[in-house]
Amino acid sequence: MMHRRSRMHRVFLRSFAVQGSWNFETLVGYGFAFALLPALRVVYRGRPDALAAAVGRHARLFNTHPYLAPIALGAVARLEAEDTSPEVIERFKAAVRGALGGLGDQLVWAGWRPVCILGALALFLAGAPWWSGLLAFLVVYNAGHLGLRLWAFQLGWKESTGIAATLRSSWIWDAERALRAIGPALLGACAVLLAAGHAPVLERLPLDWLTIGAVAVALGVVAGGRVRRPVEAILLALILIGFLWSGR
Amino acid sequence: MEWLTALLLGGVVGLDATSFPQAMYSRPFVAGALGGLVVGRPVEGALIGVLLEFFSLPILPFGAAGYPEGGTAAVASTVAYVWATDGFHPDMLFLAVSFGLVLSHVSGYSVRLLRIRNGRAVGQGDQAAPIEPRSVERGHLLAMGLDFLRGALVTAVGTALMAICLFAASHSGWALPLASINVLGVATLAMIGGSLTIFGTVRERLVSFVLGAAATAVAVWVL
Repeated sequence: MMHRRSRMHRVFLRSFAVQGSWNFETLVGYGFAFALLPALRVVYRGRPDALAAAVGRHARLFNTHPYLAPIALGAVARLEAEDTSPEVIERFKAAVRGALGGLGDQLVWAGWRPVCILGALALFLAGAPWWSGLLAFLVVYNAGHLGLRLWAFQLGWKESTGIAATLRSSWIWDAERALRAIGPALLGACAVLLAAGHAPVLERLPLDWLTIGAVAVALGVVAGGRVRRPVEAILLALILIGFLWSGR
Repeated sequence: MEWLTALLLGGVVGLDATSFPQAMYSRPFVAGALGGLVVGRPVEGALIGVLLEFFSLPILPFGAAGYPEGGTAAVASTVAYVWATDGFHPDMLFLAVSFGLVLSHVSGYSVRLLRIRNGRAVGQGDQAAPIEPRSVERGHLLAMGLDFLRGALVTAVGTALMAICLFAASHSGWALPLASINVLGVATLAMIGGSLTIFGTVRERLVSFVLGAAATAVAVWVL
C-alpha cells in the first residue's frame, strides 16, 4: 500500500511536466504516458511486454488542460490498478479529453490567470513597490494552481469513471462565473490607474493624450484581441518615423 | 556573469511557459522584473514587463493554437534596455517594448518548430504500438531539455540583436516626434480594451468594466 502511495505521488509530481513533449501528432499523449509510468510499473510488474503495450496505448493522441490532467491521470491509474480492459480505458480517455480541456481553458486560462495577473498589474500601476504585485501574483496564483491540481488528482483517483457527475455539480462553475465578473472590473481599474500615472516612472497622461487613450480603449473593446496586430504595426511604423525624424 | 544568468533565466522562463511547471513566472511582467533584477534595475524591468503583459493578456492558449511568447521577450527587452541606457530613457523604453513585441512572435515561432520536432521524434498519432518505458522517459526529458535550450537561445540572440539596435539608436539620436511614453500608454490602453473579450462578450462585461473604471477613478480622486 505504501509502495503504491509513493508511486501515486510520483504520478502527481510528473503531472507538472505533462506538456513537456507537446506536439501536433499526439498533443499531450506522450506526456500522459510519461506521467502515468510510475503507476503502470506497479500494475505491470514482472510483465515487460504488457508494460510496453500499456505505455504504447497511453502515448497515443490525448489532450487536456494541464492543470486538470491529474483528473485523467488519477482516474486512469485507478482503472489500470483495477485491471480494467484497455478498450474501456480508451473510451474513458476519449470521453474526458475534450471536456477537461474546455473546462480548464475557461476556468484557468480565461478566469483565474487573467484575474490574478490584473490584480498584480493594478498593484504595480497604483504605485506599490515593484516586487509586491509580483510576489502576490506568484503566491496567490500558485496557491490556486496547486490546490486545483491536488483536488483534481484526488477526484480522479476517488471517482474514476464517475467524475462526470461530480464535475457537473462542482464548485468550478460558480468559481468560473465569479472570476468572469471580477476580471472586467479589474481591467477597468487598470485603465484608470495607467492613465493616472501612479506607477514608478510613469506620469499622468495629459488631457489630449487622455482623449486619444479613451478612443483607443473604445477601439480595443470593439476589436477585441485582434487589436494587437494593428497596434504593433503602428508602433513599428513609429520606429521608422523616428528614424526619418531624427535624420532630418 | 550577468549575461549567463540572463540566459539561464530565459531558459527557465521558456520552459515554464508550456513544458514545466507552468507556475507562470513566464508571464512577461514577472519575467521582465526578474530580468531587471539580474541586471540591477528591477523597476524598469517590471515596467517593460507590465507593458508587454497587456499585449499578452488577450492571447489565450486554447487547444493547439500558436501564439507569441512574451516571457523570453520580456527578459531580452529588459536586459538589452538596461545594457543600452544609463538611467530611465523613454525613447529607448519605447524601442525595447516594440522590439520585444517582435521578438515574442519569433519566440512563439520557435515553440512551433519545437512542437513539429517533437511530433517527428515521439508522435505516433493514433497508432498504438508497444513502447519501451525508458524510451518514453528519455524522449520526454529530451524534449524538455530542448525547450529550455530554445528559451535560452531566443533570449541570447534576442538580447544581443536588441542591444545592438538600442545602442545604434541611442548613438544616432533616435527620437520620436511624440512623447514616446504617452504613445506606449495609449497603445496599452487599446490592449486593455481588447482584453475585455477574455471574460465574455462585450455586452455581458461592459458594465463591470465601466464600474471598475469609475470606482477606481473616484478612489484616485479622493486619495
